Amino acid sequence: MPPDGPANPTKNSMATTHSARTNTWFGALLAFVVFSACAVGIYYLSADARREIDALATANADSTQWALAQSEVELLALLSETLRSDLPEEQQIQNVRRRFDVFYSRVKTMQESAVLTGLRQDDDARAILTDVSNLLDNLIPVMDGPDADLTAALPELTMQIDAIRPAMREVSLIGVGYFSRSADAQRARVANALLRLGLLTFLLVAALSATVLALIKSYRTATRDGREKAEAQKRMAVIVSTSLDAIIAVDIEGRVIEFNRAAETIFGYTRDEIIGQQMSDKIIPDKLHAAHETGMKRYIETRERRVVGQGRVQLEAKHKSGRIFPVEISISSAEGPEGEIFVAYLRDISNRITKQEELVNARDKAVAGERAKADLVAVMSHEMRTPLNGIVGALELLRTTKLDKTQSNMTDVMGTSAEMLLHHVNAVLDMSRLEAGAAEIIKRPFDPATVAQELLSSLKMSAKNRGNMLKLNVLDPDFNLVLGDPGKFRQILTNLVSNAIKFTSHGTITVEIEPHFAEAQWELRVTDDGIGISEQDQTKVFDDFVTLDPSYTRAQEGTGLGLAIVRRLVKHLGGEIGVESEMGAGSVFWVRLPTNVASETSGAKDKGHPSPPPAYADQTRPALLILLVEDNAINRVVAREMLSKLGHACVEAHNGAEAVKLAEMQAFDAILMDISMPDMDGVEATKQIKASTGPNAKTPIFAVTAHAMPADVDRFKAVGVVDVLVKPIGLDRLDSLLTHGAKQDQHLDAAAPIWDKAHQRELKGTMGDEKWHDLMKLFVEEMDAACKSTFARSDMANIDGLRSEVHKLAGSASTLGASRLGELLRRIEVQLDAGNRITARNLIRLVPDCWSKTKSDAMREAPSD
Amino acid sequence: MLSTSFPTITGLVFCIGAVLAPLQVVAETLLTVTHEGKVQTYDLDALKEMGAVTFETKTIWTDGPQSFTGVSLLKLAEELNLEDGVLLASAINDYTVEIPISDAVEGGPIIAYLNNGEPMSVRDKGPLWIVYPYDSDPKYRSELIYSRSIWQLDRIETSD
Repeated sequence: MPPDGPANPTKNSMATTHSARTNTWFGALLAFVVFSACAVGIYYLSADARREIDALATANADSTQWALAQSEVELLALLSETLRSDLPEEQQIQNVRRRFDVFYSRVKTMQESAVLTGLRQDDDARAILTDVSNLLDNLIPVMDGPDADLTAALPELTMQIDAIRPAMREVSLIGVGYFSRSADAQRARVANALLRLGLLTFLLVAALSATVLALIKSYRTATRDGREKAEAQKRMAVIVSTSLDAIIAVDIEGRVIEFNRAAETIFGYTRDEIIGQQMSDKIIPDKLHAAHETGMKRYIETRERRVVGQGRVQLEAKHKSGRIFPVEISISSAEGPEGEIFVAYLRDISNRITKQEELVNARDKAVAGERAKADLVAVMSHEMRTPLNGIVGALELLRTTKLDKTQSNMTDVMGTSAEMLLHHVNAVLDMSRLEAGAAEIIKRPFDPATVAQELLSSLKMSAKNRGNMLKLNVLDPDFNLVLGDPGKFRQILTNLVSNAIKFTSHGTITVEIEPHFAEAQWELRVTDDGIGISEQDQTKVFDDFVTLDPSYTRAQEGTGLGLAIVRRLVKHLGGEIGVESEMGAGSVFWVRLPTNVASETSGAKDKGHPSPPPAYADQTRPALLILLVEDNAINRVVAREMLSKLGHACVEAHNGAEAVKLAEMQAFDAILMDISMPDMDGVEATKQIKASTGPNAKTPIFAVTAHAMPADVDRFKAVGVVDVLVKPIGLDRLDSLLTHGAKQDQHLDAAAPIWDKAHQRELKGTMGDEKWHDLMKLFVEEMDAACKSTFARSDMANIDGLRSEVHKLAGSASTLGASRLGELLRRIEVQLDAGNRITARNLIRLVPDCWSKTKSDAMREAPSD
Repeated sequence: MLSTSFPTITGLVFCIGAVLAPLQVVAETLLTVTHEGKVQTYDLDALKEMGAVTFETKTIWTDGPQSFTGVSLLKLAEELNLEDGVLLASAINDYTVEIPISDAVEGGPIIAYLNNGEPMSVRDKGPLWIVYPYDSDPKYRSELIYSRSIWQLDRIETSD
């Protein structure tokens, strides 16, 4: 910005200036015209006045009066000469002649003189003059005649001349009257001319005065404007020079025309050095030159604004030393006195950028640290789990051998310790998994009541140890199916109940399950009558590593992560958790989870009637042939022992290649596949087995691994693994897996109605009620019998017998409209045909439950029919 | 017309002279000039010898433009070596006016003896008439100049 001009002269002020200038010019022109007109007017009027005055001098001439008077005088002189007697006759005659001539001349003058024209306009005067002139002409012969004749005629002559006197007198009087009137008129004209002159002069003086006043006013305005402008300039100069931001102005050619103090500091140039220089040469980094030139050119050609007027832009600038540094810049354009100028406000943001980079680095480091920690934890967990697997497995086996009391106690202690250690490792691993958002989202149908019942059974002992009773209360008996992650639900419930047990002694711990169908939610409540939690602590209990009241923690042991994990799990499942508690009265922990199912559907399990506690040597369990793939000798021994405990036989493979080879040779009911193995790992082996045409292409394969990250699980499942068994292997889990391996299948057709009512009505109509009831009665008897024998045993030994029975019953069920049962039986038939004995067996276990539902539904319907 | 010259003081001598030798005096005296006590007379020829000036002008006493021929007053002043002072010009009827020498300039007044090429009789304001070129300059159209335009002139006397 030029110091000698306003920063941003707007169009408005330009227009004002322009119009002021126009006004001034117009005023000057007007004044000039007025003065010229006055001067011309005065010139003409003064000339006029002068002419009139001259005319006055001429017309009113004394000579006129003189001429009139003189004519009478001359007449009298002539007359007196004629009457003279003192001179000699000759002399007298001479004198008379001379006087006659003079008078004659005078009369002639009166007739001819221009100044006496006015007089001659008077008829009387003209007539008199003509008479006198004629008389004189008549006298000429006598006058010019001989002296003697003239002397003789003198008396007669005297009389005639004397007779002229009254006439001449008359002419004189007429003349005096006329000339005084004409003098009056002349005077009036002079007076008029003078008056006009005076008026015009007055006008001129007035105009001059007005002009002088206008000039004074204009001068004052100009002085004031000048002062204000000077002050504004001073202010502007102060603003520019004290601005903390650099201010640089350039003209349209790119030459610097303003460079303030801050700019000097930022760029290292002094103002004098840079004013008039090309800005681009000095402060624009070389690499940006081309872009700058292009931008300026484009702007000049198209007026398209990309940087100008676009607010803050971050760019790079060049210091005098050549150092390139980041700046924040805002450019606007303005009309200067010599065309468009650009004004840039900019600040050096090196510090800010540096700080930002530092922050980013710090954050990156922190994030990397966190990741490293999480990785460490995951790796450590993995590394700890493998040896733990060995300890736990070996202990389990040790307990099945004959031990004396001390040994038994020691194995109990070791078992408890190992369980606790495992629990801690799992807790930490869960935390890191949930924290990383890496936990898999599973939606699988399950019955919360069943899961809860199983869990409470397993916790019964630890509750009893503290004198506590466990109770399950399902508020709606029809509520038996949700979609979700049963494993995580189990974890949540385990934590809450364990927690309740810890802080309650000789009390009751009640687990309640209540559906809220309207909200598509269900609620789990764990209520105890223990020590309770103070109000202020209630907000903290879900925090990580929480330590509440010292007595609280002292009394108990743990990672302090239990509730924190629960909170994360609930959040992971899309639910809410809360606590209500009163000191000394107990606590209620509630969890609300989505059901993920729209309507009530029937499950295959009868909640409230938990399956009996597992008896591993149960004769009803069919013996399966298992291919065990495991490179670790200890783990192999443990697994083999466990399988044999469950009544299954197994063939062992030491690595993936061996497993593939064995799978080619012999059909197995299931394959337990270790994942981490040298040479060919479990994933590759699974892939090959699944891809082969061998007898195990459809055999369910279970992955056994310490790698339990969701991504891994996905990877396993992608190659055909049915489920994952996380090390260390527990007997329960192993049995459950082998037993319920195809568990998800059981719900595939759960949506089929128990009874096809329409079909039923049609059938009844066709055969009549009586016949229908007979058929029903027969079917019920057959089904009851089958459930007690065939389906209760799930005996897979006589496949053909089983198959024919299932086939017969499936047909009956379908015919009678028992859709769901019919479907189930048909599926069993299909599986039996395909040789999938495990799946078939699993489905068979569902039959009694499905039948009891079908039967009870039929009973309920009956009275209404 | 026999005689139109009537000297007042010295004119008597000429009158007597004229009476004594009326036939010898072929040319009658038209103008008598008295300068520093010396008297000089001029007849028409003498005046004509001094060089003639002719101009045309209107006058307030005549009708229409008139041509006048005569001796310029400047010439007379030079003849008499007059540089300042006044001329006292008198007419036949003794009408006398003062004419400052300063009026005698080039293109100024003349002592006319011809009007429209003709000698002027006393009845026609002759024989001599001091005429200014009224049309040539407005300053000659003033009452003062008009009063100096003496006709029927017959004598001039110089004065300081």
